[in-house]
Amino acid sequence: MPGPTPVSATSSAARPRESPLALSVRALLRKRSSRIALVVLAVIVLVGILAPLIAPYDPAAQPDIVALKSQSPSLAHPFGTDPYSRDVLSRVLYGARLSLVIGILATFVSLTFGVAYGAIAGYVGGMLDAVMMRILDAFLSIPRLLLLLGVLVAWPHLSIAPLILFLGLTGWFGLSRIVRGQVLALKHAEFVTAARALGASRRRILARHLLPNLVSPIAVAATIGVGHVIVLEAGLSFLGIGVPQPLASWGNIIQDGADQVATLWWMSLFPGLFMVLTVMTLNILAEALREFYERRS
Amino acid sequence: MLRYIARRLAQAAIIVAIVATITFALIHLAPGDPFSAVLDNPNVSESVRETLRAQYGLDRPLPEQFVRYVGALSRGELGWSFSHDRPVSEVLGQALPNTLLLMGVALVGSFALGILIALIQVARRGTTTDHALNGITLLFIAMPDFWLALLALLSLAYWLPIFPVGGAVDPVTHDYLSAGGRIVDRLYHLALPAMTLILLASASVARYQRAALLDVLPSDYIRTARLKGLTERQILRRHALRNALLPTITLIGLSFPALLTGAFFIERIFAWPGMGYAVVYAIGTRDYPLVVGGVMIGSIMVTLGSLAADLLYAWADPRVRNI
Amino acid sequence: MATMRYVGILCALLVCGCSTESSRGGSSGGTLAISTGGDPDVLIPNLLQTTTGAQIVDMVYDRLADIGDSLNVVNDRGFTPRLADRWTWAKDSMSIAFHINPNAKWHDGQPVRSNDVRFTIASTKDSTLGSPAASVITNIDSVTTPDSSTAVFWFHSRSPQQFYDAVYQLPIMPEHVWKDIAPAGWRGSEAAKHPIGSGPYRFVRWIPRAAVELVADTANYRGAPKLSRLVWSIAPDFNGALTRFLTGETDFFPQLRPDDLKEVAKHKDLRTRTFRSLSYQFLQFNLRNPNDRDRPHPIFGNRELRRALTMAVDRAALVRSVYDTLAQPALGPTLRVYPTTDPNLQQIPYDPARSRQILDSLGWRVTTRDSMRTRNDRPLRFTISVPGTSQVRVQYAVLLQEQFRRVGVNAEIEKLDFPVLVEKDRKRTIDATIGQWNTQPSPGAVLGSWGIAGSRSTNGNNYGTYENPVFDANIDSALASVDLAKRKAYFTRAYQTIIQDAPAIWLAEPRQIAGYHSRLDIETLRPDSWWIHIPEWSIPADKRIARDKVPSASPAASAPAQPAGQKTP
Repeated sequence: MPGPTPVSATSSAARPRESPLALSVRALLRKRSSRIALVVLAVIVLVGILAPLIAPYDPAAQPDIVALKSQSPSLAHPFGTDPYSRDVLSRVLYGARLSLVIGILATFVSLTFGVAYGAIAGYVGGMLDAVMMRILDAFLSIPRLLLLLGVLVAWPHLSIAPLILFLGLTGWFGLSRIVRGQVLALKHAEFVTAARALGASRRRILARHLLPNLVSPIAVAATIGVGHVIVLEAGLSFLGIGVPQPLASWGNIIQDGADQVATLWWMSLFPGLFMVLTVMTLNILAEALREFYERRS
Repeated sequence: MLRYIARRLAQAAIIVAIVATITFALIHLAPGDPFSAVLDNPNVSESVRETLRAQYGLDRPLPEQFVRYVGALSRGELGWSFSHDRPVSEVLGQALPNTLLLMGVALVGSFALGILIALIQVARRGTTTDHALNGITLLFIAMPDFWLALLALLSLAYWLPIFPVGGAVDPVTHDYLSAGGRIVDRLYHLALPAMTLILLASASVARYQRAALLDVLPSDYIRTARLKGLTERQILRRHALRNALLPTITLIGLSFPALLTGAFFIERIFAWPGMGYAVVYAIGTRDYPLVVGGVMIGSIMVTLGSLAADLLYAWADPRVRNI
Repeated sequence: MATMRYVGILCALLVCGCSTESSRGGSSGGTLAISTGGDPDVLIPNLLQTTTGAQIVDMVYDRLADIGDSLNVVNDRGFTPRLADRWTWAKDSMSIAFHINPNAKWHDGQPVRSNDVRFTIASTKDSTLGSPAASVITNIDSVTTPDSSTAVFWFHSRSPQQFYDAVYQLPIMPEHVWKDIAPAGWRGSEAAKHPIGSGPYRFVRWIPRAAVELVADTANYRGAPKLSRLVWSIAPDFNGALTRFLTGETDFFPQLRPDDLKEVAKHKDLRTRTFRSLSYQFLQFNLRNPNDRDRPHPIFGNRELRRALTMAVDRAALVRSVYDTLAQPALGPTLRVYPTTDPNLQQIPYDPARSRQILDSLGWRVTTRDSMRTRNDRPLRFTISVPGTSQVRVQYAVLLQEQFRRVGVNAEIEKLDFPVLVEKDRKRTIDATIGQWNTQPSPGAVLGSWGIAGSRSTNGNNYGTYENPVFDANIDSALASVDLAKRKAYFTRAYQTIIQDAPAIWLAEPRQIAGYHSRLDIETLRPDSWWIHIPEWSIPADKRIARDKVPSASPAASAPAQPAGQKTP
């Protein structure tokens, strides 16, 4: 379905003020499916935050590389061990932490950039807007993975911080266009002209009218964005150009077991399940948010 | 209509030009001299080096290099791939048909499957079937491409050795088979990668199509059709689908990036010798020109794809044409 | 004679057994598909550095004579004629005259002449070509050609390995193909892409990243080989190569790991064979600065630091983890199978506590923040480069990373494509790498990889630039001695020198496990080159499968080849 239809300006002026956060939470609690998804996601996030406390072993420790390597799941190691005798459960837990952090931070970068770019384009308008939009179209035409590969071939061995930055810088394009649309619509809205005539400062207009309308696309983009980055980072780690050893990320763990995929099935199964679960819940939540905001308009 | 076409073509051309600038920036922003790998490499012959220097004006100031770069691009020259020891355009030219084959089959297959699933879901909306299919499509959308490909390889090429382990053809026997045998060999090798990509791509098509159908169903003309006494099935087929298919054309245009990305991972895991395989390999060999060439071609594909979809849409929906 | 006794023991030690002549009468035909995880680097005999390259070159080209399966390198005992059908020693042993088989022809029809032999040796010694083999044929002064079928090798000095030096190192190349190409341009030339040799197989094609195909040379002067086609099936990675073998797409996989044996056992039509190989693995340090070869490496230039790093690694545990029982920790740049290697060479002990002490004393202190060491704000950090397709080396890298982490050293892992790694090795731009030498029957080959000549030559194999004249001198003296006890003493002294200098951490001496399809009749797997007897392998007519029945591209394929007895010793 195409993006959310622009919110009509008059309705936003009449709405009772409720903080965007409260609004979103209300959106998510309405349907049963999104309530369940919220709980599951909260558990996963909690697991990630508490990983150092609940992980049974140090994820990088190789306690006994002879006797404990490549063990199938057991009581002592519920997710088994990898060929370096590292506990897979601990690595998956820490992987949750790292993957979620990367996802959230990268999405934050994307959001900031996207909102800024779209707002400037919409606000300034004219020639600059046209040029900026064409550049945007160009970036949109390059599949994100491809763009990342193009960057990563030039800067091999990225540490985590630059990796997050590049992931973020490649994901802001869609949101930018939506933001621009909102800003454009707002520029020409009657009530804005009226408000300006009455002496309201630009800032007030922005805060009162623009931002509430942006909550919806930003919330949806953020939720979906985190899921995308998690999968992308896993893919890059799987290709060997993402998170470096000995750090654990879900993609990394699958990579470690990739050459013995048949015998070391636990190394592909568990991280994969976690990934799918996380992304699924994020998508369910995103859809719930989108439906909610669409109904309101 | 003609004006619309002209406008869209002009837009596409501008986009390609900007992408060329982006790739040029990529090459030159990278640390180190991107061409030293070629110029210092003893494996590369002198004539190649001369050609490169002439083509790219490597000792010249940056703006001049850019002009030469664009000129080379317009002639179809994408540089020299030192890991393959051949021009990039040759390497990618050979690899591209394989990717197009995979993507083409996956495009048709995923839309067919996706629309089918959507129809089933709408016909049985509210029932367990609908909910089950809903869950399944959600699952497949969330699934990482490479993970599914690994599972597919494991289960259908190894545990149950139904399909070959990878490659586009059997390297040992292919050239010695009869013409018919060769086609069968290719299809046999295409089956598993294509099926995997279809599964991955059809999920979002199904959800999109389902939403579009549900959108259209309450419309006036549908209600009229119901009053006229048509069965649900006939309504779906004759009226709802046709109108809901319009946004599907847009979806086709929008699905190229995801298909291309999916193809990259699938090609890597199944050793399918397409553009994705070549580019992923090039990462390991630090073959800049090949990767950047891949970015260029990938973006051209996406642009052409969405252009074609837009034109198709304009042809199908008269309302658009008169803009 | 002492040498004979040791040769006998050598024979018994070799797991593959000592059968030499195969008198089976296998019928001709059949295709052998070999699974491999990487392309060959280049198909030029005196430039190649990969085993895949060696496999193909040994099928397409011939040597003057072949070493016997017992790998005796002294005098000419056990050597069988190939391109040379007979040879004569001069009375003073300062030269050997080889007579070239008059029936020998190049694959393009030209006859093989003594000029080709002279050209091969001369080009190998040519410094503009920079052949890695140059440093091991230093005893050969030159080759003269009194007539077109006689090539005389002249030596600088007598040595027990004269004959071996002359014939083992180099297959003979056709002068008429290569002489007009400047050596600097050999690698990129057209001739390199279509090698022409005189061997039992002709080159058909090389599709990069996909396959190399050879077809039997049925008009070969030694008779046609039994298998009519050889195909190397190149997979993108180890898992791909292994899986192709397990599912029957290929027939032979020479790099099974102990972990894979269980999997192979599940397939009723696959067999395995464990055999001793002449290879050892090590973590090599670059002793020079990768950015400026005239300066020492900021970390590895210091001998004490290298020794400390060695002490931090529990080599025995690593070997057990990676190889289970199928390897032993390496003693040094040598093999236990050589009669001249003392198995009790003194090693740097595993002592992490002492390692930490030494690092502290060198000024590398642990910063409390991440428990890694720094000195003057410079972290003790380096990169280990490994070929991504070699699972064993990747495994070692991760294990080593952890061992180093425990003493506060930060090692990062870089996985590279194999040809890229070889290129970086040659240019000396690596920090540390896990290398493996598939070495030669003569322990003297160590000079090529660890001697001064190998370090100075642009194409030499001494990637770490380890240069110690004491080491070289001892090896030279060893090679010049005829008495076994003296040779052993010199080698021991040389090995002790290099072990204590620690230019590398000596990791493992693995056995090799090959997996093969049961329909194949394979011969002895010679430790230095398991592929060398492929021309004698066969597939009985009643066991042939689809890919064996493929018609051969060569028009002479239909002529029935003679069974055993074609080779005239």
